[in-house]
Amino acid sequence: MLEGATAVVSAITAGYQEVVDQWARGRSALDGLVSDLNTAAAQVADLNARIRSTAAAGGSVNELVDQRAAVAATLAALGGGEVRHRDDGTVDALIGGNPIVQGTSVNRLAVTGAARVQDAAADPVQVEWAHRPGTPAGVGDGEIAAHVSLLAPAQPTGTGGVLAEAAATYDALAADLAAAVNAVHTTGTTTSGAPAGDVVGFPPGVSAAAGLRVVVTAGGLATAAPGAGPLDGSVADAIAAIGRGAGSPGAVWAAFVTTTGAAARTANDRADPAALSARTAVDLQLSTAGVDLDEETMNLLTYQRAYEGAARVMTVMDEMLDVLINRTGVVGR
Amino acid sequence: MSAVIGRVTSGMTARAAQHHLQANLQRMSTLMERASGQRAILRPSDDPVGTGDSLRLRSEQRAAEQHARNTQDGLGWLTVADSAIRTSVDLLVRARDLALQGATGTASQQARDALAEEIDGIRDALLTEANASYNGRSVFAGTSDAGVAFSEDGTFQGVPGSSVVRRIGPDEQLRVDVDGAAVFGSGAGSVFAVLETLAADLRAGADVSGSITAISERREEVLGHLSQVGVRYNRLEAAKVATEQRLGRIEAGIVEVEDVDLARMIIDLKSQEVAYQSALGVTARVLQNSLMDFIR
Repeated sequence: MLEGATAVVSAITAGYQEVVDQWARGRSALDGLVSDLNTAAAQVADLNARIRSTAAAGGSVNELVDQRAAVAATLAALGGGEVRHRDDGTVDALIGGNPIVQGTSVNRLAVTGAARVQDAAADPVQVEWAHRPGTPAGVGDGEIAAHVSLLAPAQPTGTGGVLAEAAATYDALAADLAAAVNAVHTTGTTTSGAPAGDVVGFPPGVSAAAGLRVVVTAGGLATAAPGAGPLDGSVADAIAAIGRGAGSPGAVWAAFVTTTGAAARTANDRADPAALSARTAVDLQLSTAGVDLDEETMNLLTYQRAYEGAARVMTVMDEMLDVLINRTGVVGR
Repeated sequence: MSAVIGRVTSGMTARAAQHHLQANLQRMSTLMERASGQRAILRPSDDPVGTGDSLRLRSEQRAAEQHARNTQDGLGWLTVADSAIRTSVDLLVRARDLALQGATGTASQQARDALAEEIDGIRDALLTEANASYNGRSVFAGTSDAGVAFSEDGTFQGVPGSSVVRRIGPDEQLRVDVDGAAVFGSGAGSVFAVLETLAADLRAGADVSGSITAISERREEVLGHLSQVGVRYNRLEAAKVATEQRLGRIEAGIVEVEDVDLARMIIDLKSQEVAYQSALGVTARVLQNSLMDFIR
């Protein structure tokens, strides 16, 4: 029985640890994304400056504009937002209505908040303007917004970030399980007649799911109710009954597994149409911007024929001049 | 998709072909994973409802297996108790016969001494039966851990009023031990005390009719317990069959929820393979030609 308890406890702590690790990975990925966004914004501002000065000097800015468009696309993929063109050839990039690039100046974004899922509730992760600390930047789109919503703290209604909700469920499960088992177990006595202690416990200061441990030893297991004889099994039977019923830890766990499964399935189902519409959008863009080999070949042929035609005209003119210059006065000779 | 787009470029065709090939390959890998693992549910998102059912069925299965083990254990207890009580009844019948022989006035003192000797032997045999044990626990001692139900001098060692119960179904518990104090009696009325008195009376040449009545009464009492044990044994046998049937139903449910239908899986896999191959073939045909191949 102790082996079974240890297996359950280690499954809970391992599952919890995985969620914690995944949250930490998401957090560091968010840092990277925001720094990418800042770099892209700086590049756009730099290109703005060069385009303006080149245009003022009367040079060609087409290549620079192409480059800027590519960087702006990265910017949009990371943080959503919109791009506005100005008369002097520069662009402004806006995120959540506020400029991240304005002409040649850049406003940087920063990530603040907890570095661990355990602290996420007290200190939620948010993306804010570096020059205006404390106010969320309102990144509503793109990879960064997706990461922020993933790292959101758990809510009592269960509508918080997926990972924090999972961690909270693990915690609640561990605490419930420990409380239920210990409450029944401590009413019993061990085979030697001593009053029983706790079966599982967690050290203070650590979340229930992370610190859950089996604290009872084989000799400290209480199976008997007091006064019912040393080898009585009624407390063991009562502990076995904890697993049944509506609010039991088993039911909580089953609800968590099916809810997570259903959520993952819904997300999968939603991802398919989203991918389809994304693909359609890219196709629409490519249908105007893309290059088709057949079309280019046709154009090439047209120009080649035109060139040949022009060359033929040259030949004809050359022959005409030849007649005029070299044959003049010798007609009939 | 391309219906609403006026212009199709070779790059778009290549992209679309790549996407469809990838989708085909993904479907095939999922099917292959299921077929090779022989499981319909690889992760909860494959079938959330099925996962819930599977969790419930598995927990019921574990409980039913434990109930089956409990029932088996209970049958062991009752078998031991049954045989001990049966032997005790035989011994009591023999003791009563001996007492009747001793009660006839014609018996010589020598004969009565011999009878007393045999009564002592019967008492010891009864003590052994009363201390019959199963798996190291005395079946007549209740929840006591004393090791024996009756000590050498016939004192009951068990926990009075306690009972050993086994859970044999989700809502059913059954007592699998027998109260030693009720079967063999305790104190002055115990079968051991009665036989000791009988032996002493025989040796002293006193009247033994009181002991004969006491032995008869004790025999009736023990027979009553024997029939109770029989009833409970039957109840356990019925529970064992019921648990086995329940286990069968649960296992059938688990198979239905978790296992793949192999024939269907192979057909799906085969048709997916055909789809993938045709996609590969079509892609190879479409993408290799352009206008460049036809002008020189």
